[in-house]
Amino acid sequence: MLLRPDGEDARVIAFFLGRICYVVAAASLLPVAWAGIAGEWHPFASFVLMVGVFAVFGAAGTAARPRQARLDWSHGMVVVALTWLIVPLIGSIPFALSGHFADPLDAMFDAMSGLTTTGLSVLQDLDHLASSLNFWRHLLHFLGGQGIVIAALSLFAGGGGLTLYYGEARDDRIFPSVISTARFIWAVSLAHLVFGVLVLMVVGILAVGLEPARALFHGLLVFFAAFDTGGFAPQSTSLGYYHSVYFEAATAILMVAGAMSFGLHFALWRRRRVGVLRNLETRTILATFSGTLILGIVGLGALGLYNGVFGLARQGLFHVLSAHTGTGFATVPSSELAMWGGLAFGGVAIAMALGGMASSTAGGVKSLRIGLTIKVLRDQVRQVLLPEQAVVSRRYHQGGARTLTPAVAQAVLAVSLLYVALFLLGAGVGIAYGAPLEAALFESVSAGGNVGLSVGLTDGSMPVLLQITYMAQMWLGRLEFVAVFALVGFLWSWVRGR
Amino acid sequence: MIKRIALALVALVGSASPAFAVEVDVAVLLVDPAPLDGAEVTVEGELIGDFMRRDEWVWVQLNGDPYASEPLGEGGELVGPNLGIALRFPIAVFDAAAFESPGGYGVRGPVVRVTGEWRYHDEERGGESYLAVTSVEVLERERRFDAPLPVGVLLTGLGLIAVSGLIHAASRRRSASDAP
Repeated sequence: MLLRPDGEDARVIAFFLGRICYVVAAASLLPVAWAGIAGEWHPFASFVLMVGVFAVFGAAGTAARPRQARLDWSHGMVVVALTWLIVPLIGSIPFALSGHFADPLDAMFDAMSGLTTTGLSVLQDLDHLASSLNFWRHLLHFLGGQGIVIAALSLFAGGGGLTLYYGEARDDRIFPSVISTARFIWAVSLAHLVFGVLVLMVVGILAVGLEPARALFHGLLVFFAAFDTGGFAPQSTSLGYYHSVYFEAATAILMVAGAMSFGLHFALWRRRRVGVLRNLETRTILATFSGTLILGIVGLGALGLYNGVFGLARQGLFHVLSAHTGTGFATVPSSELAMWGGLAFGGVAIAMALGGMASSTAGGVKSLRIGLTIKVLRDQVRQVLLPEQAVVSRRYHQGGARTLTPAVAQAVLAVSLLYVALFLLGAGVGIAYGAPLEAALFESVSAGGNVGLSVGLTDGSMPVLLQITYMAQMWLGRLEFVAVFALVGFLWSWVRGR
Repeated sequence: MIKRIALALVALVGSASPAFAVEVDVAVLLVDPAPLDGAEVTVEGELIGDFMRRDEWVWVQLNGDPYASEPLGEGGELVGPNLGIALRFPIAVFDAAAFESPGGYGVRGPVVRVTGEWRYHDEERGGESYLAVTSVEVLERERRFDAPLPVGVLLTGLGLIAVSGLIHAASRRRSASDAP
């Protein structure tokens, strides 16, 4: 029997949503300050409006005052799923008022894409966009990539941190306390922020030829998009704008850092390198990256698009890395990416679907699930081939020896299959609107895997249903289904429960 | 003003586009770039973003979209994403044109007509595609435009912040009065 949620459930959810809105309102003061300093008064006013709306949501939510400010599992999941709807909704206000979007849905699309670190965009005339709005697009990557809830957890203690943490598709508990883990994640991110922006700025000045202030601007925005595997770029030609192999190399290092789990960051900080290489996830991602890179480069070679080895290796490596880490930067126009057929297409599309590591800022199925799925299949085959009495070892190494229990195997296979279904659903809608199979599949995997590479289907003139489908894919893909399913279940029990 | 006109004339006279160059739109170079590889082409558009000086070249993006004549902030209409290609100027050619600033927020950049060799997937530059400019003609200089402060939006935002403060204060008062 379904139990209908009562007023206390609603108050608990509203209270935590309110707290998170306060945190986002505080973060939104950054673009307000940016716009004020830059003298961009039109966006300044729209940012003030956005802060006002976040603040009202925050005040109204926290005024709900539940009897006990503790979240149970379902409340936490509902809070996370709603947070990832409310923040892009309110965060899209400055976009909607900027005049660079045809309608509020387009603005919401970019806000959702930014927050979920996808990087697909329907923004028009990006090259004349205010710098503060460009900053806000990229700051959304940072907030989403690090996890808004992680941000909230870092700032306030309170009951229910664990469920919020898991709801945001993270399962690495580096420290026994979730709050300590959240603070460690922010410490790692801020250290990378300082180092990454500095490196990109220096490369921008010396190798790209940017003026220092502009190098800082580009460095900051590209850092947000690279480390959070987002994919937005300050200019319409993405990373191709800089025409610099050095800038691409510096960005590639940040993309790899972003696709690494924070558990792996912790191990490297503690100099536990040997254990890292034994991890199933590390081995899987190295294998899948090598495989997709070979596919991509052989495919590009077969197409004859690049004459020299350097060009072939540079373009192949950068785009496969961009796809596998879930970043979505490109150095070629989408019209050219659409010409990458055959193996090159396969390499990039598979890399996008596989994604980065679990508990990282990357999207996609994730390497740990891929590694475990292969292990399950291999164990099944071995079990069949060996004598009946033989016992097949179910152990694997991931931050220590672990046993692959049937429950874990079931969960891994279920989520992996859900990703496949998500990719096929988006492709189906694309095909229904007349897109070729390859393009529809590519764009769908890019949306569901939170990547952002595009072959041109995503633009301001795309059909509304396709746009909503991609937004849903970004949302589901980023939260890895569970929190969204919990929200649906919660709403269902509200309607049908007793 | 006289200096600017003189500089524009120098750029015009010193860099008249060769008669044999193929006139193309930027869109053509994006959609079907390979057939023109190595050809002398002429394109028109707005210089946008940054003037990136390095070695003996200046790199800059040229947009050949409708925003080049009328950006959104200046009343232009939404017509899709930007269409841009990279230009590589020899420093002498670039400096002769005496550009002040590229396009961006509040600035419609200089609109130029450039001629040069279209290099598609240039092997020497690791597969990059760009136009190696040999001559430039300045069609229109930079133009600045303002976006006015929307006072209504600002006041609404400030009003909402005040409302949130009132709700918060009321909530705290209620908490204090409920406390045993």
